Amino acid sequence: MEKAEIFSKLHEIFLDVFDLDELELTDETSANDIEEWDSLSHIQLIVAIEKAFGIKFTSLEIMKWRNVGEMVTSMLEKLK
Amino acid sequence: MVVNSYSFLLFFVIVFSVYYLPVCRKSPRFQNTWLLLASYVFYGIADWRMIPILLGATAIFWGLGLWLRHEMDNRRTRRASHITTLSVVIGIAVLLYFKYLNFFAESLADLLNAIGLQVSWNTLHIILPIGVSFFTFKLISYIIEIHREHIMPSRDLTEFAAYIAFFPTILSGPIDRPDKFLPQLQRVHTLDYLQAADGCRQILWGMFTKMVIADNLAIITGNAWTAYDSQSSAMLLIAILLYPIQLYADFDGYSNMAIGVGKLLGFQINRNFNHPFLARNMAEFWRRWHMSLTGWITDYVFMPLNIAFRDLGNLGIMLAAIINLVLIGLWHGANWTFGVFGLYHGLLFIPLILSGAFGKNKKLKANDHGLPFLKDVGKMVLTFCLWALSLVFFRADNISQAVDFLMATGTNGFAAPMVIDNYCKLYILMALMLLVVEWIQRKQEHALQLQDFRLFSTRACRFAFYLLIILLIITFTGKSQAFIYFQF
Amino acid sequence: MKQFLITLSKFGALLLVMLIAIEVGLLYRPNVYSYKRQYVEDHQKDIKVLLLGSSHVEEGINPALLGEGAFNMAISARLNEYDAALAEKYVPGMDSLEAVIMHMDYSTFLFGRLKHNEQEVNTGAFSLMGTCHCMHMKYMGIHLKPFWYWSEILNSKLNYMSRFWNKAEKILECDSLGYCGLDVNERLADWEYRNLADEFDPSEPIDEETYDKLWNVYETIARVTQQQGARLILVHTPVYKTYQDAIHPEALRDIESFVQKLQQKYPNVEYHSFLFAEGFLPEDFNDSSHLTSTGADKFSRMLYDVIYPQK
Repeated sequence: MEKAEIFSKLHEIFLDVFDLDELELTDETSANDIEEWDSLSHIQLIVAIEKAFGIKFTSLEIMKWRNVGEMVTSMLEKLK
Repeated sequence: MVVNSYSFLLFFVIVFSVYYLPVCRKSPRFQNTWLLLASYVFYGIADWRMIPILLGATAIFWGLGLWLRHEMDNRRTRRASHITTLSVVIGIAVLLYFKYLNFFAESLADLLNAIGLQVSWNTLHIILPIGVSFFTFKLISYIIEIHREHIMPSRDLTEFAAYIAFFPTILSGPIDRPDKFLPQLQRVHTLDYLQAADGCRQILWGMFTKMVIADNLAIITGNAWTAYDSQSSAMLLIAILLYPIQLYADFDGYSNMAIGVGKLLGFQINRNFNHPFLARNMAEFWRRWHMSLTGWITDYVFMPLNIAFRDLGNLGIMLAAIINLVLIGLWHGANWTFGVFGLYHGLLFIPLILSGAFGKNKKLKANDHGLPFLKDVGKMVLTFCLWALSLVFFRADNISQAVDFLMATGTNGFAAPMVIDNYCKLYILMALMLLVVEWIQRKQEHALQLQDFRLFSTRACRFAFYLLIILLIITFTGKSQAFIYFQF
Repeated sequence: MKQFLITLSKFGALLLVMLIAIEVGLLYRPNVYSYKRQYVEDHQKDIKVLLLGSSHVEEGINPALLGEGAFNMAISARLNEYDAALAEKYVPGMDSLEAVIMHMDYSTFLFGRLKHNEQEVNTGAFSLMGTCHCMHMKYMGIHLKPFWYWSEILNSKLNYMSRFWNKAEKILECDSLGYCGLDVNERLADWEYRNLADEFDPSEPIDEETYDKLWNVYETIARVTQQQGARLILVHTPVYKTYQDAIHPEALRDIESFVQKLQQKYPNVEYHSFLFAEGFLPEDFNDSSHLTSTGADKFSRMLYDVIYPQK
């Protein structure tokens, strides 16, 4: 899968989980940028991503991410 | 040596003066060495027997951090995980041994006795190292953050040891995280006027809440708890409602003093409280109370549990929340009362999780008159009452005493006279005024950040205000001493 | 940095002015120490019976019942070196003096031979030592300690600021003759177990330093009293049975030999122990070793007979 494709699919998931109408998603986007992104919705986000892409992350991977960019890097490895 | 004592003042003047000497400011290494020395002297005065443990644990974890990174660099992920697990086990083992071994032994003995097996082994006289709850958490957090690739291990033992032993926070927190604190040790500190002045004000405010409000409310609640069988229900109810304010004033006071001292040395220390009594539900309360501890447990227990249970939906979150809060409770001490306290709060999260209100972080707004909205006030009062009730278990010596106290509150009646003299009325008034100040200064880190008030725009007015606070501290400190005076 | 230190100094200067104003202001407010000093200085020629000691005497002996010219100069939480210093200062000027009554506290005469778990300094009494030094230095002119003990803000654990807004009667804990009576209705629920005697361990060696200090105190009082031609009456105040149970006969014997040694040098010394005195009821006690006003009245009448025995 290409990075751009991942980003566009992610964008939809983000809008859905956080109940937003629009959102700008970049590599640097993190929980600090989105008010609705707290520890709980973080879990909902991960569950939604795992379902949509058919992948499974390890706990360590999830806890390493500090922004969307790092998350996408993990996803790219899994989707190879 | 408590922070609000003359001996600490002397100690700190010396530390401060040398810290900012031009020769020390030549390199962070010099400042850190001085800080390390001062911290070990401070810790030694508190309990010199524990220095080997602090030193030993620090050295071991420093080594573990470097080894962990080495294995991670060589992509030996399995071994890296083992090292992390080993470190966490060592840290927890140290904590369990010193803080909880007696408790486990006694509880086990009780259990065996209950099923007929007579065991009697003497209570192990293990000395509880002062600060062990705090520095073990710092050490564990360090390793985990390396493993999560959020920080690089420190190559400088002096710097790392200074972080672990940092004297303003070693005895009572706040718990600082390595990712925010280590970088501060890697640069030279010159005095920042605004930060230092703010630090002084924060220390003053901490002294006020602790010495004037907390210490005096403690007399009222202490009296209610000593002889609760014979007190009027009204008195016991007042004690239940005052204790949260007392606990807050005490702990927030201490935290403010520590943070203020840190600011005078140019450090930004983790915040511990964010006006908890403005919380509108228990989830929000725990995001505002003892934040350095709850943050630690959230990052290293709650989130991993949540992630592990993520396929269980709401049930997984509830389970993680309950475990989380029971651990927070037990961290406070080796007593089942703390377990009950934690369980109570864990169970209170269930309705919040089910309704979806759990994660929501709604901004607290004021109405046109600058006052809180009525329905927000209702929620704050309810949250306060739920908190106050849980603190009965927190404060009791054991579960049956907690239950007795609650029964006494319900059944003692109002016949017994209330032991409220003019001083008590004054302290209760001060407690209520503290709540008002909490609302007014809700956007500030501490109440003495007065930049928004026209009244305090001149230095003369501010100085007069600080002098008034000091006058209040002098007037209302240590009134309990007069009581024992007449016995000698 | 310079700006910070300058601002801090400016504030510090203002703070110092405020603190000095408080310290000086306190000098002009009534308190029991200056009251008793003033009384003794005003009536130095008239005092016939002088009472010294700490709370056991201040609360336990009513001078109104000791005939004319009696005054209770004892003050709670006083360390006995101050009793000696006050005796040295004022007894030589007391022309009418017939007797000095000084208390002997059983616990101090254990000379450090306490059971091991009692070795920790009693935090209550210890924390008030600074107050004792400060108040005696500032208000009674007895300088036994360095100058920084003069400051009440630094040393006193009492509610000194309330002296600014309370009236004199409320501030002075004692009556006009220096007696502070305790009300039986105000005693605490566990009174029988408060202020018990310290536990004596006969196998411990006598602490020489403590012995010598105590000897100096009583010897000083005996000496100045003898030079004035008056009697020194050493008393143990009455105690409740919970206290009596803790008294060790060997400790009592040591106290008696201490007194005998004193009497060999100073024949004007008399010793009267009321530890096991009869006639005291539970209502007479505020705790195991302090008397209420009814108990003090009883005790004072007994003392009257000691001072002025019926022929």
